Amino acid sequence: MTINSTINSLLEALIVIGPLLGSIAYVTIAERKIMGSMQRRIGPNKVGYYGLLQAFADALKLLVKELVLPSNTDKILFVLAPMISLVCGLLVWTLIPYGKGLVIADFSLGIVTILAISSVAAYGIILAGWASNNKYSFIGSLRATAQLISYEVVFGLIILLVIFFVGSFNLTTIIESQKAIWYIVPLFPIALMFLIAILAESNRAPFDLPESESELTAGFMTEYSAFPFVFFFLAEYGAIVFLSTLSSILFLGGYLVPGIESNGLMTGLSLGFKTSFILFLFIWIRASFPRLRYDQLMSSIWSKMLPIVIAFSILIPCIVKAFEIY
Amino acid sequence: MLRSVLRASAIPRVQSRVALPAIARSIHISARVQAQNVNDYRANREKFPEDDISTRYTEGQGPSALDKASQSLLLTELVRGMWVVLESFFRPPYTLMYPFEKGALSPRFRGEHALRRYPSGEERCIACKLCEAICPAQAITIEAEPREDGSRRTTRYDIDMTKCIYCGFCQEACPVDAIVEGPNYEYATETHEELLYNKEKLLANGDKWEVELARNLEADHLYR
Amino acid sequence: MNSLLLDLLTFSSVLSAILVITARSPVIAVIFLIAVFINLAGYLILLGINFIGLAYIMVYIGAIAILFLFVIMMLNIRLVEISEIGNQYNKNIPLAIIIASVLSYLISLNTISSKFDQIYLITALFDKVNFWLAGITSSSNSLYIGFNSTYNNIFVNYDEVQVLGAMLYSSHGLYLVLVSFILLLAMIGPIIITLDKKNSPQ
Repeated sequence: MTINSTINSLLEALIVIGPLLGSIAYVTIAERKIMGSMQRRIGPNKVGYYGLLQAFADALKLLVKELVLPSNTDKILFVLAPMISLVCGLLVWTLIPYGKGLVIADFSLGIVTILAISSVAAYGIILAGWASNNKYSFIGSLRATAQLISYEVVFGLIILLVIFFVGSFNLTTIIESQKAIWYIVPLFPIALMFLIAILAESNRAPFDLPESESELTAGFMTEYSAFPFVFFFLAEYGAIVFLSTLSSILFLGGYLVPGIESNGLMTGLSLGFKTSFILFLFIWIRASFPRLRYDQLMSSIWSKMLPIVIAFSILIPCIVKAFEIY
Repeated sequence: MLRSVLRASAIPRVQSRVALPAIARSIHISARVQAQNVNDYRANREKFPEDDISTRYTEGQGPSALDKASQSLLLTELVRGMWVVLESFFRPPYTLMYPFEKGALSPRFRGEHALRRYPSGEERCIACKLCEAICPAQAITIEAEPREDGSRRTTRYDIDMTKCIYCGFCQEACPVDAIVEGPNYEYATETHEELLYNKEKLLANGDKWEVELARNLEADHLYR
Repeated sequence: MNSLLLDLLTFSSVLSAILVITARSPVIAVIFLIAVFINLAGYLILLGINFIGLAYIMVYIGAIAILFLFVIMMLNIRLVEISEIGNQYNKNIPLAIIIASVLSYLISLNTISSKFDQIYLITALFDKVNFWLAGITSSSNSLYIGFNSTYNNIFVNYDEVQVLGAMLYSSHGLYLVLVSFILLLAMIGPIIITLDKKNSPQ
């Protein structure tokens, strides 16, 4: 009985993690192809038909590379940091519902758990920067941490607004409550701000100051190579895919198909399509905008976005209370 | 007559605008101003001073707060920028598939060096050593002796291609168009030694590329 | 299985708490402090107090400990200086003993008189503090009812968040007001500290 359930949960984990790693691989290819097209280039087109196997070739290259542990580093933390990042990046996927009941952990406090895990994930970056004993890594990790803490405020407040509509922390409930209308409609400017916040959360352009190549070589990843680098890479792109999934759950109705009562494959496809759209938006934004200066980054969060979000978090409950929806 | 008709048609418009709520009014005004060209705008400013958006700004409080708020909340400027990027997403790429396709080269392109010959087969170089003297990278080494027939020729003409900075001064300095930089740029090698060119290699280059070299010199001779 | 894990978490939290004091490098000390927080959060979650545990992770690990780490990393503290100062901490030992004995007395008061239950232990402590600070006497140990999942959940099934909210905004409203005052002070304090009176426009 216990052995059976153990095998079951192992299988569940594999079923989620395997396609996740595949999707991360294809997000990297998609990024390179789409950015290429947007800059009137071709992008990778040699490995496999249309360059579709490029990510696997890159992964293979990284895995056969030599593992360099620089001298004068804190060896334990240096190896631990990418593991923290990757474990936290994979752990959050247990809470994502791919369909009605298609979720590993249907936890009543799902979204709080996501926030908690993502706050632990910041340690991967900050410890990597400190353990590398390198000024570029250190500055990169300090920037990343300050940015993560700042944008987590807006991130949490916006999630709180959605929770106010739903009345539950459970992700399945959040999705099911969007049957009438997706939350992007009543919360439109907030949804845009959420997009900006997740761009900053995942250290993506135009908020990629932690790893701005022109100033910090590769930021907190400067000293990393081979396996630990792959871990960081997977964690970073996993976070991008996860945050797009989360925003499609919070604002685009998750696995719901508008107008149709659907289950099974249809729900998964729906969630995947919405997530892909937001991923395309991520790449599109990266191709469009230059990197912000650090003071612009901080002023845009603390003196522009935060007041607006706080104003909305007072306004929207007032409107809802006035109409007695809840 | 026409003026009075315009006036008459303008009055109900103005009145209706006053009756409109602020949001519709601001949208209406901005749409109007965008639609008109500058001359229309100037003429209108004289005719209907109450319509003039610039005086409105100086008198009042600038663009309406609702305008500004909606512009910044809906990220209109950013979306416009992203639209430009999306337009080029659907256009064909500029990429040249390099080993299979190659771009056009100017006649002045400075590539691999070559020593040319006269049509009779006699080598052009007279060992004046001007190229050796002018070479800023000191990549050229020349040794000269009189030949059996008494003419002054090089016994050694070496170019260290790894020192060369491809400035083209040797070509400019040469009085007999002997040393030239040809259109070839695909001569990468696996060892350093292969890039230390001697006289035989340079003359062979000249024989190999003579057609192109002559055409390039012909094309550029008017400007020298 | 669960109680074994609980004991393990208790043990490792005590161990990492000791390591926080004994670690030579301040950054390593903060990392052990984070380990303490993680152990405690795991302990609370295993007890079934999920929301408090997760809030622990979010607030203490995600915000406070990160700021600790952030500041200590940037301070560039020399290890020699710390070991010199470290000897002076010995004079605080009597204070530590007093606090520890008072706390253990408080705990033993409840554990000896009633059954030994880990949830009960914490909630009873809360109730004692309640009684001292606000004079609220709760004979039924209301938090205990709220958190104990075995208690009469046949008829009513409360979310922990709902229970917390109900308690916070009804019987324990005083604490909410007190906390808000503390936060207000924390906000005004930095403003006063950073205010430059000489160069201000007035």
